[in-house]
Amino acid sequence: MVAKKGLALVVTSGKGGVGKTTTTANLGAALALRGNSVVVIDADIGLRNLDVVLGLENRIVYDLVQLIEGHCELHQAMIRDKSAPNLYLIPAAQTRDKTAITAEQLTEVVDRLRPDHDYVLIDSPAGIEQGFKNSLAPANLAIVVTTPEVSAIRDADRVIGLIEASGLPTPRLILNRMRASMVQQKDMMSTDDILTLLSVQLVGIVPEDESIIISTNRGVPAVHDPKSNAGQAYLRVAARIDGEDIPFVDLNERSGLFHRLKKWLGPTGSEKNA
Amino acid sequence: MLDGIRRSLRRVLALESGSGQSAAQRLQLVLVQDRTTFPTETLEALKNDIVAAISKYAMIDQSAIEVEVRRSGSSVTLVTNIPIRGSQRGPA
Repeated sequence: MVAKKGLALVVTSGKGGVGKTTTTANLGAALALRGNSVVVIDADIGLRNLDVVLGLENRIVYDLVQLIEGHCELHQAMIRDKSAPNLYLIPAAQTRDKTAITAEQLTEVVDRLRPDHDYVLIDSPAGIEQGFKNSLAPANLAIVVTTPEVSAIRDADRVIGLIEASGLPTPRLILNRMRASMVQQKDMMSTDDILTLLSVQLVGIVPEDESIIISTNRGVPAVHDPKSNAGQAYLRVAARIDGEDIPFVDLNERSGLFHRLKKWLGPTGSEKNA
Repeated sequence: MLDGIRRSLRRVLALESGSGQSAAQRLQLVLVQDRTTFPTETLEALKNDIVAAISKYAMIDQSAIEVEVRRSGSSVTLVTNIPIRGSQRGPA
């Protein structure tokens, strides 16, 4: 049997609503589709959501807090995903709060998973309080998710500072909900703008995509939909995390008249690709 | 649609700068401020360390020491004002 990588990654953002849980679900599924054994842990105690995004809400028997409190065995708290092979979810407790677990306890759970799995993905709660600190504790690397908005980027910067202060390596960035047409019209910060502001390395650019809403409605991550641009972007993120050298895709949409006019006008020199 | 094209043309012809640019510029200033904001305890600890270091070489009035972070634009300076009462004779 091949030795497992046993890497723990925390997915975090500071600001809520930027796509942490969607990212965790899609990255988990994408890494599993690549042949890895993956466990995703919902560390957002009291605001359980990763289960519905993965479509596993009806299969939950035990949760993370019950596992930590010794009410079940490790394998009983791991729900096998229905779409991806070797993907497991450890759900958050819904009726408890962030004080129900400690950083040490979460680290212990993750350490027990490492020998048998390639990746353990921890979906961090929003904010920078105890729940965030707990989810950072077991991680080898943090992935910060942000959207191209001032509030999300400001919070991402704060979180990057806290991650570095905790002794983890500089986190990798996923830029979510990018709109190429708005970047082209200069009404959205470009990838370069954001990377300069945050001084971190990019691991993925995910376009704004309605298919995310549909896949979340259905409880099947977008990586299973070959027509989903966001899903394809998450597959590329997973490949990069897996060590492949995948170039960043030019998100420029073929946006009708404007695109054709711009092509005809030629490059302006200041245009930056998303 | 027509409005969008008109705006795009203005942008391409540099008649108008996009809101993305103002976002980036505003964030640049905000992030510098955020990154250099010291919590009160940190500033107090810094002050104590400065006092300890300087006390080895000079007599200072501890109650008159001021430590503050000053910002102008994107530059941040740590300003301290330490009145000296006299230097100590010989090595400390």
